[in-house]
Order: sequence, then C-alpha cells, then structure tokens
Amino acid sequence: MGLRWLLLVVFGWASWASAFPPAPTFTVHGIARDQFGWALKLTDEATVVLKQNGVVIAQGLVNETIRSGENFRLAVPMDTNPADPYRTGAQTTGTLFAIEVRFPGVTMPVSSLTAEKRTVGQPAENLLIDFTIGVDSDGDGMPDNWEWWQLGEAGIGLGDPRWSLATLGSGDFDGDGTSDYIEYLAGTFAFLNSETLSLKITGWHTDGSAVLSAFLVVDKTYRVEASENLQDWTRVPVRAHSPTAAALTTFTAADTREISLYSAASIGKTDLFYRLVLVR
Amino acid sequence: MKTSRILLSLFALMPLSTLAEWRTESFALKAGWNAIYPHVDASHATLDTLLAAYPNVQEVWRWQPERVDPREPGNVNAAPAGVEWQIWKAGLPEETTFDRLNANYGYLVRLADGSPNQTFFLKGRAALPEVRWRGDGLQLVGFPVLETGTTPTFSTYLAPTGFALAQAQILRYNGGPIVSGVNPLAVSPSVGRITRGQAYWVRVERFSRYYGPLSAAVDYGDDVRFGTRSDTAKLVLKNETNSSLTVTLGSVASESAPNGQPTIAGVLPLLAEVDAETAFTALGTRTITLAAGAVVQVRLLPDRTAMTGVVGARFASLLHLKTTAGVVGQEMFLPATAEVASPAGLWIGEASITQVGSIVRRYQRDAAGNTIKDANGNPQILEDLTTPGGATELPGVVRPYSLRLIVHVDALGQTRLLSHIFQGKLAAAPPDEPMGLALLESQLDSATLDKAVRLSVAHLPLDTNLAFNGLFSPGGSLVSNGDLVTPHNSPVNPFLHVYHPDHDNLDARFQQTLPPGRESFEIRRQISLGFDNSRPADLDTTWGATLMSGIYQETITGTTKPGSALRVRGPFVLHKISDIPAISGF
Repeated sequence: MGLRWLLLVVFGWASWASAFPPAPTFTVHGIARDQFGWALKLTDEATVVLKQNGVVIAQGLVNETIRSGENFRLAVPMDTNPADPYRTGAQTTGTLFAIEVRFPGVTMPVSSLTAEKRTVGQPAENLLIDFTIGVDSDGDGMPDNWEWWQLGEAGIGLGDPRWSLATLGSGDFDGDGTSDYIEYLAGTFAFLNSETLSLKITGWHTDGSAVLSAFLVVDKTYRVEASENLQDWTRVPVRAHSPTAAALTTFTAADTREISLYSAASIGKTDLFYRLVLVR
Repeated sequence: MKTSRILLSLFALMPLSTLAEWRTESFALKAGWNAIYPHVDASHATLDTLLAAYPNVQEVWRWQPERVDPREPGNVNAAPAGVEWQIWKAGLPEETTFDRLNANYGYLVRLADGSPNQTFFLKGRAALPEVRWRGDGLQLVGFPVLETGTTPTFSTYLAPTGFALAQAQILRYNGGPIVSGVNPLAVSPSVGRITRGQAYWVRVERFSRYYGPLSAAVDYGDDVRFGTRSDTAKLVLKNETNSSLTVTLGSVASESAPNGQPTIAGVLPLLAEVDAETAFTALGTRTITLAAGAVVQVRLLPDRTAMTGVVGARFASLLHLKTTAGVVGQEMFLPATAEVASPAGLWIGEASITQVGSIVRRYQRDAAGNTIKDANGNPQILEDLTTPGGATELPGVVRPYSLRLIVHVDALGQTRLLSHIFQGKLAAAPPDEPMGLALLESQLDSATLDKAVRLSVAHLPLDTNLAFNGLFSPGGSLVSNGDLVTPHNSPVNPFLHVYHPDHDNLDARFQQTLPPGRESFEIRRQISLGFDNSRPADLDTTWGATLMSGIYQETITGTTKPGSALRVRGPFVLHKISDIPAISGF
C-alpha cells in the first residue's frame, strides 16, 4: 500500500511539471481561393478558421495586402504538453485540425481539405496550405462548380458521356500542355488550348534587356524569376508593356491577355533562363 | 558573463573620447532552443545587424502577451486576443514581426541544429530591471543577479515576494528541440541558482513588480538624463526584504558607442547627496545600508565644472548598484548622461556692489617720507591705473547696492551687456515661433504687443550694447571689448546740467560749446565678469547650466584726475530666462 501511494505522488508531480509552458506558435498560411479559383481578398470579408474538435484554435481575416504569395496567416498557440495547456486552444505537436472559411452570415467548407486532415507540426514550424472553398466531390483539388462551369463552356452538356466530374482531373483536357488543375489555379480555361500559363522570350531591346511575352489573367498576381543554371532562381524586376515603365518584382494583371515584359537582368549575361511564377 | 567583465576592463583603459553609456552582455547559446533576458537595450540596431556575425541564429521569438489587469488575472480560457509572440527570422522579412531587441523581455533564440556552442555578445544601453509578473502566470522572466560569483537560488532570491514556490513551475531552456520535460527543463527552486541573462518560465499566478531584493527608480524614465540643464536627479533605493541590506553605489565607465550613435566626450563626473547628507560631494563609491523595507534617496548632480568640451559634448557613465553577494546578490547598471550646456540665450541677474574705492596715483617714498625718484628725476609710481592694487583691498560699503544686468550670449559665444531688450513675438517670425528677442519695439508683432516684455536697466546709457571678450562658462571671465563711453556732452553725463553755469558746457558768454575736460569730462567704464569655478553653497543645483555666479568689477575713469579711477566690485548672479540665441536687429 505504501509503495502504491509513493508511485501516485511521483506520477502527479511529473505530470504537473511538464505541462507548462507556452511554446513558439505553429503557423498556418497560404492562399484561400473561391470556387472558381480566384484568391479571396480583404474586401470579401472572409475569415479563415482553424478548429479542433469543434473548438476554434485560431482565426483571422483574409488579407492579401500584407505578404505576397499568401492571403492568410494564422498563429496556432502551442504548448509543450496537452495535459495542462497554458490556455484553451493551445496545441501540441501531432494534433489534428480542420479549416473552414466564414463569410458574414455563411460558413463555407473547404473543398481541397477534408475535416481533421491536417496535423499540427513542431513549434515555430510553418505549414503552407493553398485551398479552395466549396465542394470537391471527386477530391481532385478542383471545386465541383468550377468543373461543371468548364464543361458547360466547352459545350459539353447533359447526355454527353463526358458530362462528368471525372472528365477534368489529373489530365490535360485541351491538350495545351497545362494540366487541368494548373489551368484552374492560373484562371485559364481548361478547354481552350490557346490559353495557358506561359512565358516566352520574344526578342531583345536595344539596351540588352530581354523582351518576354506572357499570357496573364486579370486579378492574378505573378512574378518573374531568372536563373543561369536552372537550379538557383532569383526574383527579377520586369517592366510591363514598355522598357521605361516602372520595374516591379510582383505584379497583378489588369486584364486577360498576352503582354510584353522587359527584363534588364539579361544585360551582360550570355545565358539566362526565365520562368513565370503564379503568386496567387 | 566573465567575458563581459574583461571587455569592460579593457574599454575602461581606452581614451575618454570612446566612452559611452554602453555595455556588452554575453549569452551562452547551444544548438536548438535557448532563452535569454537582456538587461541592455539594443534597439539602436536591427536584429539583422546585431546578428550578422551569428549566421547560425535562425530565429528569435519575443514573449509579449497582451497586458493583463493586475487585479484580474487574464482569462486563460479564452483564445488570445493579441499576438503573444513576436518573431524574427533570419533572411525572412515577410515572416518577421519585430526587429529590435529591447531590455527586460524574455526571448527564445534558436541556433541551427548541429551548431557548436557559441556566445552571443549583445551591446546595448544599460537599463534598469523590469519583470512582467502576470496574474495568469505566463511569464518568461530573468533576474539581475550578480554577473560573477555565486548567485542566489530562486527560493532565496524570490523569498520577499511570498510566492508559493514549492507549487510553482520554473523551467529553463538548455538547447535542443522543444520537448516536454526535456527542453525546457524543470528547475528546483531551492537548489537551482539563477543565472544572469537567462530567461525562465516561472509559473506563479500573482501580480508583482518584484525583480530583486533591491529596487531602484529614478524621477523620470529609466535612466539619469541631465541634458544641458542641470538639476538634481533622484535615485530612490528600496530594500524589499525584511532584513538589512548593504548596497554599494558607484559609477563605472563603459564601452565605446556603436557606429552611428552619439560619441561621448568622457565619463560623467557625478556629485551625490545620500539620504540625510546636506552637501553634494563626489560620488566615488558609497556604501549604503538600508534597514528592512527602508527607502533611501540619492540625489545626483553632474559636476559641470569638470565637463570641459564643446557645447553639446556628451558625458556619460553607468551607475553601478550591487548588493551583498550570497543569498541576495544583485547587480544593476543605470546610464547617466549630461551634455555641456550652451550659454546661448538671455541672462538676467544682479550684481551686488559690496566694495567701492578709488585708485589715486601714489608715489614710492623712503623711510623718511620723501618721494623716490629714478635716474631721470621722475618720481617712482607706487600705484595708479596701470598698476592697480588688489581688488580685495577695496573698502567695503556700508550698504551694498544692486546693478541689474542683462546679458545675451549668441550661438557663437559672443556675449553682450545690454541696457534693454524686448521679449515677444517678432513681426517677421513664422507662426510656430511664439517668442523672439529684439532691441526695437518696432520689430515686435504689433498684434501681440500686450504679451511682450521690455526689460531694462537704469545704470547703463540708452541703447547700450557692449560686447565682451572672453568665455562665458564656469571659471571663465569676460572683459568689455573697449570701454563703455559716456561723452562729455551726453545728456546723461553727470557733469552736465543746466542749473549751474559752470556745468552747462558752454563758454562764459553761453555761445560756444566747450571741449571735454573744461566743464564736463568723458566718462569711461570698463566692466568685467569673472565666473566662479564651482557652485557656491547658497546657490541651487541648476548652477553651471541655467544659473551662473561670479564677481562683477568696474573701473570708472573720467570722474577723477588723470591716472586715477573709481573701482567697484561685488558678487553677481545670472539666471538664464531664454535659450534664444539671436536678437533681431543684430
């Protein structure tokens, strides 16, 4: 009996001693998109909510103006031990959480993630999640509404054997070299092979600047990167439409069309590769 | 911490021009997560700069939860409303939310996995300790224990708080990943000794301001800053324990200023008046014994007479407070600074004439009373204007009389004695300059004339503007550049009046004016101001900055025979009433 008491006392002290303190937060960040692939904006008044067992553990307004490449960033309070969290909602590594997006008066499910699918990582770790709201019945990352819309625009209707969510998926429906999923992210039409996320070198300006041609989609944000070895890529400023326009490292398209971009990074270089990055 | 001591000693040997109120603290870091608690404020530089030499430091996290009302512990059942952690990440500005290291915060520092142990040296301005005890118990804190030697345990150091430490949790980081029970590691309050610079999680759910057995506070802010205006600074020491506490108080020189920070001309010479003392003496090293719970005031004053340098030159040092080693060993540093005051501005005061005498030409005589002559037969002069006797030999007056003084010093140090001046808004001044100085009323803004002030003296001729040569400073002296001349025909010449025909400066027919020396004489006054080189006991502690004192002397010729003169002498005091360095019209 005496030994049992001793064990209980030791166990009790150890539990209390390891439950505290707070740890650096676990960060969840990325891009939240609407059902048609457009990144949500501050003006949409959307709130990204992280929940665990129905309890909100972190939430924040969508805001694309703070950092490029993301429109939400949430800090999940972390503790070293779940037995005695320093506050309600504090997490420990390995717990699961779900995401939902709330608009004024309505809560939307997240199509590219299923409930309790994501895991809290280590303290101070970042988790990048790009997701879309709406229902994604076939789980291919593209919301059902976008897929039906694409099929309709392609002239595929009821009775057509291709009138199915399975028509768009991991393949390239229009055969333009860009997968359906990338077309969804880029905002180009999956059935139109003249629209594709692309960047070409079309010539050289008199000062040695490379003249690039890119197909850009309205409201999408891009940047251009350059590399001499196809391994180490760095962001380079470009001038849109004119070699004397303002140089930008990140830019948002004002309309949907092919435009010229001028890059001075090529001046004095013998070999230089460019790539177009869709930021959001 | 030993390294910091060595650095301090080395810098103390360097020329005074490199000294500042800076000091370096050192922190031992291991690969993984560490916790530090700086007692210096390094916000003069960004973390990118401070950590440029430490590429293995990947992240710094500052624990900064929202403030809680000390009367109502924070509601730990609610999700945090504010940001609890501020983050700095090397090379990731978009993930960085703070970029300066302030004193008295707990920071987690992450050194890259696999890095060797290293010491992080942090140079900053010394700061008084502060510990943010919270009602919800979520504090990452550090304590100003001794830098070297045996430091106290948590139980003894925190005993005056009355915290139930046996039930508290105290944890320290020890490198490696964050793993429950391993890093941070539990510390026994009764055995674990506090390390200066180390931050600890101490879970005590009681609000307090305690940071050590000795608490210190200054009048304003958290340093002793005299600026260019001397006044006493008050340092209040309190014994937070229920037993006697012995404290040494001294001043130490510190390290060179980082690039871009104001250079320091030298160590700030400090005078102190401790508790019941009634006179300021050099600070030196004082031993102060505080009874249980006692409060002692230390009044501090810069010794401006020892601050020689150009206007604005910065003098600084660190006040060093240290308690008895052992169970309560504590050590604190506090910056003290002052700048050489500019005398530029308007000074008003009075000279009190206490001695008046005449200088009459006297000749050397032999024992028999006969005049001694030189080889040419000329009598040997004993005293006249060219060889005046000692000023102190002048006889005292029965009742001293006052002469008001208006003195202006411009930005270049040129001093002038004025007979009058206007102080008010200038006609040509922009709206944000409510005050100016002028010699003519017409230079004032007519709309605000009712708010202007005219200051004048009666003993100087109208429109007197007498320039001085010399230095307006403690120990300095000023002598009028030339004499103040009252012409023989000036209406204010005392020889001249209309009631006696021998003093109207006209010939016997009252037709021709007479030259000087006939009925009226030209009067010349040579004025000098000799400044005291230390504060007279009866003057307050603003002396040397906005209060000056010394001896006024004047030699008047023209009222007596050639070669003779009148001399007056007495102490003066000047108070600075305006910092405006320019007078409209000059």
